[in-house]
Amino acid sequence: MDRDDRRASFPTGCPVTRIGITGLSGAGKSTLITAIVNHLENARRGALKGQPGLAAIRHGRWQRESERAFDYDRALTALTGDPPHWPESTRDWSIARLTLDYDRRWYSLRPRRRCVELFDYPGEWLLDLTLLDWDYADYSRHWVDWLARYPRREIAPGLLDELSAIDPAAPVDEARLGALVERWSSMLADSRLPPHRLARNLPGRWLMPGGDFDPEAMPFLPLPAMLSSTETTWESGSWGAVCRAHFDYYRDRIARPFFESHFGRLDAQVILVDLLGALRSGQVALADTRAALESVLEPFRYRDEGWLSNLFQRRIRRVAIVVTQIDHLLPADQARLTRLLDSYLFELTQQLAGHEIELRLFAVSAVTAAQMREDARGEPMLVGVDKSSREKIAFTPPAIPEQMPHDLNLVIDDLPTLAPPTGLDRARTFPGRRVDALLDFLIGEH
Amino acid sequence: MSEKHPPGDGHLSTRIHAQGASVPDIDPDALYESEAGEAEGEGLLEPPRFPWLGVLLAAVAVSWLAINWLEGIHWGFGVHPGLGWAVLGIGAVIGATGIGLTVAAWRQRRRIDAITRLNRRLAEAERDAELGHSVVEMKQDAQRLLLGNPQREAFERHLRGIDAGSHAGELVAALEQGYAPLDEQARALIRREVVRTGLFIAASPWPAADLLLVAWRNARLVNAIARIYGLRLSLPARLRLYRMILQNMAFASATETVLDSASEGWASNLLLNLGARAGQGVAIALYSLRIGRQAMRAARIAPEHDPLVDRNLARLILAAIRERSAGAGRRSAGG
Repeated sequence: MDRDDRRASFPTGCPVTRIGITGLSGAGKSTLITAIVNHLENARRGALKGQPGLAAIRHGRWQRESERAFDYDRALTALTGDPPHWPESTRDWSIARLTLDYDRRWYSLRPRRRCVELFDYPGEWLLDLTLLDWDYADYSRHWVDWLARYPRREIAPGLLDELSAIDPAAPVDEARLGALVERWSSMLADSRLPPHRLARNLPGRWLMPGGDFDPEAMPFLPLPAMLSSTETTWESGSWGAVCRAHFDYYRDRIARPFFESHFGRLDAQVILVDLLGALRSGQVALADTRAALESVLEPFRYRDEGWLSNLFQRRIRRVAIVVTQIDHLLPADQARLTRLLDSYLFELTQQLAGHEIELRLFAVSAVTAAQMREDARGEPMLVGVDKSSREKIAFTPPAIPEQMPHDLNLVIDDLPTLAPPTGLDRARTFPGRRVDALLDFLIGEH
Repeated sequence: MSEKHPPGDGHLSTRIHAQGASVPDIDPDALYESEAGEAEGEGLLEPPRFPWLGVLLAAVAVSWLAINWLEGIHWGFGVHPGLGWAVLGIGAVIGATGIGLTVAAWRQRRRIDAITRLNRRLAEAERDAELGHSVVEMKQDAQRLLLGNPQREAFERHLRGIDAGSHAGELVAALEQGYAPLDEQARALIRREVVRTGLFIAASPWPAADLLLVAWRNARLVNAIARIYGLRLSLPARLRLYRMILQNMAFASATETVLDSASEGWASNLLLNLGARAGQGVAIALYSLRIGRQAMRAARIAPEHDPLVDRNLARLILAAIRERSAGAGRRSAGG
């Protein structure tokens, strides 16, 4: 979609604020966007009154009729259904557009209407940022390293050996390529799922292809043998030539245009981190998630170095790193989670802080699913409905520390994942925590 | 339970109490209510409103004065041109001075609001572990607001190390360091003044009649605290500060309730031991103590972490009142 289409979807003269919202699959993007739209829709009913920067918003209206619109209807159907369930994962990019009307004094020169676009895209795609600086040899080298280590070594036993056995100069065997692609896909899928929950599953569109890409049509696999060989060119139709050509096509025709066409226009970026999910899995998942975050935040870090940095830094001035599902913890620990996140990402935030980017860490609950109660001894506990068994569950989450151990050796055992509560109503602000504070950071007037 | 440390192996366990039908039902309305309850902050600034009535009355008053002045000039020129020029000149000087004073007075009032806003912003930033340029902006705001502060150089020294790589918490800690000697001064003043107020009421034969004097003493206390923190109070600024203090006291926060409950035992003991008059002295002293604390809160940029006026101070003050009232009581009984 080009710029003119975007303009056409909003009334003329309406200044547009574009906010990118991303996070790896399962981080809660769709739920957060639904909650944000719901908060803005309910501005009239006082949903934003707690934030002075948003107090002037009189009314927010979601724009249903626009191209590639975020499917708010579907998300609402999921959340308000009986039984309710979380909205489906983002599989392609979409944009939630809202028009905000402001209460202004008669002499105010500020606009009386502003437009907000929430640009939603799978976080996996953001991982492809790493690929943009790589050539096919870098890609192979990194994957050989990852496949040789725990836990990927155990997720796909023998896969590295099979790939190593391929001679890059030999002609491609279609049947073997097909079988390996299948193994590759299942390795990526298994890495992402519990108990491992690994984040660096490149290429980013392999599991989340979106509408523009079919991984099976142009597959590419890392070839360890090429790293030890001195040859750099292979005959057309060989393993090496095919995989390299497909890699180059993916990098230059799929990944790069996506960033070029969308990122230069963003005013702010929200990155969701499933910290609780990683904490459920432990050390390896925490390390992998952090490494993934470091690679996706790379372009924000270096100024005046390459087209990508310029693309990002042209406009994006605000970056919010958001941890969700804080309602799964007791109130005292909810506040601690921000500090834990800060300690977890310390190096990264320190590097970003030196640049002209305003970085904030938020711990939010987009839709609160757990209710505080007291157990028989009068101690606080949480009650909710378990997402997988759909049974009610009463639990006391553990107290979390304020600092992340340097070796990331921290696991939360048995923390349930809850289903959304029943009785959600679009005409009321969804129960949540600090969604308004996040909005204030993104679009507040100060 | 949240104070527990994680075990050495890095595993934190969730305690599952029950699963299935034995778990109590979730009340969706309660979820909404808990959210609504959290939205209420303490000591918030009320949303700005345009003061229509005030502006209208001021416009009428200014127009009336201007008309009278013009009439005066007209009359002056009628009597003698020199008198006309004199009325014109005197009116212009008075008008310019009035405008200057009004602007200065309103600026001081805005400063009080700005301190409250920055205080709240810092509390939020600290909670969110904020860092980056917003911290530098907050530091610059703080420096601007601290221009008239007697400890300005000390503040500058503490704030020197704050840059875009610093956390909001570090900024608050730097401010706290700057405020430490001022807080001590303010606490000493509160202690002295509150004990005097308490004794004054305890020793007064008609405590109810002396309440006006107490109100005046409390206003003086607030002014003195504001002076310690380098605030110059014009009339609008003063009124604003009083109003904020009263509002904050009316919507007493949790810490304040704790402060009161800590003193409650003492107060009730005193009532038993010393009789109604001393008890009234104690009650008034507690009230003054709260006013002092709120004045400190309103005058500081750094958010209050531990109560600025804590239980120990409350106890010291009450003990002092008790001892001195008892001493006075014994002397009068002995005499």
